Amino acid sequence: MDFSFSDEQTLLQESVSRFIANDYGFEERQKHSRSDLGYSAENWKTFAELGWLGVPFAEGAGGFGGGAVEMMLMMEEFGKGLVVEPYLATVAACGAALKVAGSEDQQAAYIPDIVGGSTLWALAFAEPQGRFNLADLLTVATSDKGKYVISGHKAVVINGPNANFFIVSARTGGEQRDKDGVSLFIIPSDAAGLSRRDYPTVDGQRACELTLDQVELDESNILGEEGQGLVVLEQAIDFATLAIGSEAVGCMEVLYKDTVEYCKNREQFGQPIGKFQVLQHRMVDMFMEHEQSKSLMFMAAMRWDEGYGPEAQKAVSAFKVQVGKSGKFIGQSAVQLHGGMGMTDELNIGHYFKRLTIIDTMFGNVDHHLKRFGDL
Amino acid sequence: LNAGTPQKSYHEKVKLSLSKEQSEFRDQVVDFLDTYWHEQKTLAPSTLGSSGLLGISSEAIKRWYQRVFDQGWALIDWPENLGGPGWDPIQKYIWISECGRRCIPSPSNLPGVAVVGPLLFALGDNHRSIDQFLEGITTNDSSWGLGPLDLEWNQTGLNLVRSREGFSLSGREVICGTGLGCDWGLVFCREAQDEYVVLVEIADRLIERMSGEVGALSSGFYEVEFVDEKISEDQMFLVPQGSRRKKIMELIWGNGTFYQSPLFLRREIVRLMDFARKKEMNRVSIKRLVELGIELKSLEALEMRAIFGRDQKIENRLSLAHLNLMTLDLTSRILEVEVDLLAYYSVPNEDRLTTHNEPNLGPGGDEYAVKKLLYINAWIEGVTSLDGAKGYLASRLEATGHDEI
Repeated sequence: MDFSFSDEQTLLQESVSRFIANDYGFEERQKHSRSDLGYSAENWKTFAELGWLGVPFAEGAGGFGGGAVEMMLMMEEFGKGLVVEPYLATVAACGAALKVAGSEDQQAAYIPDIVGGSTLWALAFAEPQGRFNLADLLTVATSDKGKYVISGHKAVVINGPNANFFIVSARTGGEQRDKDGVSLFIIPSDAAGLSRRDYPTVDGQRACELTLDQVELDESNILGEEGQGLVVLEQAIDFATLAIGSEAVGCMEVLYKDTVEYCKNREQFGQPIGKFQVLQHRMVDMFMEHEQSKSLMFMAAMRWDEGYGPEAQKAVSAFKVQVGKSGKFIGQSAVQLHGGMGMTDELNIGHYFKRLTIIDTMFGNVDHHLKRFGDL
Repeated sequence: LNAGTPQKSYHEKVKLSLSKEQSEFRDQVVDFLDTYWHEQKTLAPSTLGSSGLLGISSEAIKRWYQRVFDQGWALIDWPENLGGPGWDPIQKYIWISECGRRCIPSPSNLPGVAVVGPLLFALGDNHRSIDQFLEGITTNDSSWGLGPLDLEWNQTGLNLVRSREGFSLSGREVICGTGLGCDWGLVFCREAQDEYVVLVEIADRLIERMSGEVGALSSGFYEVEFVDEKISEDQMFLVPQGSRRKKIMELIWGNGTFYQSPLFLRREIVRLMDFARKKEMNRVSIKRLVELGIELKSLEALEMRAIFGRDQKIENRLSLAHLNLMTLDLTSRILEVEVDLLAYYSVPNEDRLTTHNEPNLGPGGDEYAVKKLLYINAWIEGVTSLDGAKGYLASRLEATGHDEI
């Protein structure tokens, strides 16, 4: 049992932290977020050069052989900078699916390009009627003479507007909510029959509604075994949940620290408002909420690295519940302690709160993960 | 991703699994607990019901801790030359967490073991012996209680007066200890500008014992009165001011005061969950219990970091004291849910109890839900207020200079 980081892990964390502190100020982030792309291609290139895009992949595929702990360290730092580059969608979510279920040919074909920064990916798994049930699918893939034809609609596909490839879940058998009969497909963004409606999300990211109208694919596009895609999807989503939760922990730390700093400087009644006991206690509550989330983050990442199974799933769900509750409390408290300033677009506080709010709804909200935790 | 297939040097550290030596130590602990704790439970079950924390009598607890003392595992934070086992943080964690899993309550003389001893190590000097106070703790012969722990938060009802004959103590105060009695008390007092820790014998100064035996959860609130009680210099320790005072307070609050692993709550939640499922309670009730389960998980994770952080400085801002209070807070909320779920079963009305008694909770077990709730609330608000702990944590954060509040 050892809680200390290895030298490699420490170096990785420090390099991301330095980048965020020196090259990813709030103004730059806002500029990237409001650009046409919605992120900085230059930064993405830097991520590739620094090796960050290969962190979770095996060395044989050009990666660095990291695991959940490395992903946790990186995403926590990304959270501090409110990074808008599509790391979560490309590396954490789609990278996980490729790694779990990709054939040798698929891994050789796709992962080096991800690591090199030349392709972006998006995981299209959500449908409007499905809430957080990954198996609730109306998108259908029918097979005919070695070909698949897919039709359906995918909602809120994060990084969809910039993706070169989509991983799409579709039903190849069973009823609408059956666990069996779900398959995953790799679809190039220029495939015939694929159309998008792009939009920015409230937290400064980019997403799209994806419509598949008789999209034709061959067998090499299926990811994993036909009809057994749900297990892969669950594992990829859990990994992405761990990643996005870690990002939330980073966001919370900034909110809590910035609020403390503000309360030390803002004077009222002849003294800094941070001297008032009621506000001190609120800040201690923020601190403890952050620490509880961070503790569960460690536990979830370490459970994951011990092996994916019910223990890891429970830890991830517990982490996501805590992140949802703590994020809301810390976000609201930060806005309240900043007064009217906290609501303005010019101040970073509101932007962190918006990101935390979206994170709560992504990959299952508090209620969903509470139920899952209870069922496991 | 790499689930279950650690690669490269990245995974040389940060792991939850135990090393071979640590596993052997845990086996040793588990054997000990399985043998002796089980024996105590079997020999002396509480007459008060079989539910969770109440499943063993306080007498059995006393015998159990005598066994732990005999084993040399009771004084886990003490120096080796004074009876400590010389464990590293992981060994401490293994012991605490395994006890927690079995709902083994805090040591019967927790104030003496966790506060008085370590405080005397810090405050004692070479010119006088502190052995007279430590001896009773090391042999488990004297029980200790604590007065208000910080004069900045609480008013004490005691007055320390200096005269030509020396010091004398007067006034009334409530001393908190365990339900097994209180032979000695540790109180903070002021004389002029100076602050002292004073060690006083309780014995016939006791006016009222305000709480009785509530199974293993037994606590004792002892109201005592001193009338011109002569205090010798051996009984008084000047609390230094400034940064040393902070260190002393940190020792009290951070050194495991009232510490018990939050894992002991797991069985309570599981028991209530079983009850709720058996009664086919609605989703809202189940959801409340799952929420409590997740909070417990977060405290479990926090506990790991707090214990390791103390020596390895990963998160030295964390405080076990605050974790304790969060544990107590969670305990209180579990009991609230328990009272709520049991509904009319828990109302201490004799007629209803005889009609609707819930056999799984043991005879009278329902009434204990209410008693436990009252007990815990008294503990939280009476002895170590949550607000007080927040104030402490705020000052502690300030001391780090990093997250100053």
